[in-house]
Amino acid sequence: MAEKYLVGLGNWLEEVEVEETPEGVRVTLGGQTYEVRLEPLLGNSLYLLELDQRPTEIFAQERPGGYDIVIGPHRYTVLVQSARAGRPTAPVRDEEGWQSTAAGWLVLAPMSGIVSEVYVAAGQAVQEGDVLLVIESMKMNNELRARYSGTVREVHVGRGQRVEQGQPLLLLR
Amino acid sequence: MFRKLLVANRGEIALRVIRACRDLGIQSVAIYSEADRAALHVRQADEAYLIGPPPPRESYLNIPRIIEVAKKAGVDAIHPGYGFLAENAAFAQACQDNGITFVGPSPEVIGLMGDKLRARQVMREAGVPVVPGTGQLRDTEEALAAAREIGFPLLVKAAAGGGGRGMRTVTRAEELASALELARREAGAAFGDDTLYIEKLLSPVRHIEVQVIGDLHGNVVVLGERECSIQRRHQKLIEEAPSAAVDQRRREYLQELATLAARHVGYYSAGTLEFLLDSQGNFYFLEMNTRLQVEHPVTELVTGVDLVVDQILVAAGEPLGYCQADVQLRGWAIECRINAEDPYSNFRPSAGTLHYVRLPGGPGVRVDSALDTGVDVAPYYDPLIAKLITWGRDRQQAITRMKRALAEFKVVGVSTNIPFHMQVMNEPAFVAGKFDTGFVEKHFQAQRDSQREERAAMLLAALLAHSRRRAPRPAPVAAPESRWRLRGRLEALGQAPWSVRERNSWRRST
Repeated sequence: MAEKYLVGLGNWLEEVEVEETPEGVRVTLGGQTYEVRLEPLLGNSLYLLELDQRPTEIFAQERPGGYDIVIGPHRYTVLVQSARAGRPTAPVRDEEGWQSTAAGWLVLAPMSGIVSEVYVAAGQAVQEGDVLLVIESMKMNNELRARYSGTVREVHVGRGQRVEQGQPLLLLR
Repeated sequence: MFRKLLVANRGEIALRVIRACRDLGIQSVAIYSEADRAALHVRQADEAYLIGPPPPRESYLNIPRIIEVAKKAGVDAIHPGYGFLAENAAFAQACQDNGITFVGPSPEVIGLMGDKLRARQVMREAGVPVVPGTGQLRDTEEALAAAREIGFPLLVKAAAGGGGRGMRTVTRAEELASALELARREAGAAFGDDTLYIEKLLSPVRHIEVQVIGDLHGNVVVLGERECSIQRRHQKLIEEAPSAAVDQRRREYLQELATLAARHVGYYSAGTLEFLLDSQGNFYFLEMNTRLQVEHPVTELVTGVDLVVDQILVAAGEPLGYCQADVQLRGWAIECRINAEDPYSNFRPSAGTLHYVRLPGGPGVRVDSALDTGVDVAPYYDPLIAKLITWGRDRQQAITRMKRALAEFKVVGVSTNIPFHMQVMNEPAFVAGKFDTGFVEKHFQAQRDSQREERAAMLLAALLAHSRRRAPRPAPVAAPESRWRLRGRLEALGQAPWSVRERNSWRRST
């Protein structure tokens, strides 16, 4: 029986079909079908992926909503879900990763680090280009600027706090 | 000789010093912040002491706390590594005041070279050419007059500066006033000293530095040059020894300058003189680093000297075990700084837990790192997580081995700049040795050409989600035979580790 999954990498969203056969697994992506064998090695992070009879060493680490996958020197963050529920209502994000929600723009941490400055408070009006807060990471100060004018609705972090990449920082409307 | 030495640092350099101590039969003492409880340098040292919370100000830069631990542990020497307190004259003085030997030059020399204006003055006195520029600027008018004389473009620099901070490029006279104001504020905030000066901006230019080591008996030996032109935002990324731009005549000239400079200030311990080499072949003194450099291993590989061991020996009062005539350069060494940053998103820092690490090996490969599976790469500290150094009988072999080693290197859990290094090793200008400090801007393509890999990543994610649904924990499947096949040599060198062979879509209907 073929199962369908929705897979997203960056702005690329694809439906992937997985079908088990006696020889291995057949996977269809973007109209192309591949013969695949997947073999876990040394536990659950290292895999041997054999794609059309060519083996490759791949590392996969589970993360919320998907996997971090390392192929050669590159790391890819891939989101995946079953397609049974139908087309997902994927959150709308702009190119900086700001997430559009019913309540406004949710500002997510672009990297892990320490919040070294918070320049805004709830209720404060901001202009496009204003510095909202600064995240310090590995000796670099990274200013987060307002991408839209509006009012700060909520501030989820404080000065000195450690944040992880993708963590909600502010709500702007 | 010392009995016990404290390493006032963390990461790979702390481990490097601990290794030197072990070779010398000296007991090592590590210090660590709360973020580094499980760090490798803590586990490898003979003793380790917690010194404070993760932020450097409260731990690795906390002088009273470090001195307190040093006394409690009963050490007779402190090695500062590089960064943190390595060029802090007050720290060197505090060690001295507490009867502990600081492994480095005297506090006076550290203070002298830390003041870029005084350093320029002293070097001029010694007869070493410096980058054309001014003394301390009193006001904007004086700066403007000096700027017209020096010519544009120029650099506004902080006397207490370093690492590109408090520095501004000025291309036209109209920009000078605001650049001075910005640099003054930045320098004041970063160094507590807003003294500024102007230097001519030389371009194109190569960054070449000279390693010296001196003992307490007046001996100074020069250990050749290093090429450090592959930089981004004044941060070195790749270094090599020797330099393709330095022939024997220039090497002898540099050796003469470095000896002159080191003797003039009564230098002892390991130190580095940084020079700029312009397109006309002129060398200009830039600054002197009064410490061990990150890139010291390339010098070690071509000279056979153990710089850290010798640094400790001369600090203990021993004379250098070799003289200038004993120094012979052999072969070529290259170092790639492996940083936890994503070269495809503007080198954004990437912190996280390391799920898996595999270090490269084989002929001509050396890795200095404190990487270990399970270790947290914390956002509090420098992004440097490893130094990959290769040696070859010539530059070409060193590059070939570097490509092999980069392809073997696996870090899972954070993004690294390994893809950047792979690109550089294949760049014709780099391979030809023809480059300057503008190389990264000119040649690096911040885009990956790997649709096939992306597709594979998506396939794999679907497969994993599929097996997860069928069995909550994927159990290892015992394969009847190994499915591994030898991969081609080109693939092993990182070129298209594999390819996806596409099938016709009619197969879907079967």
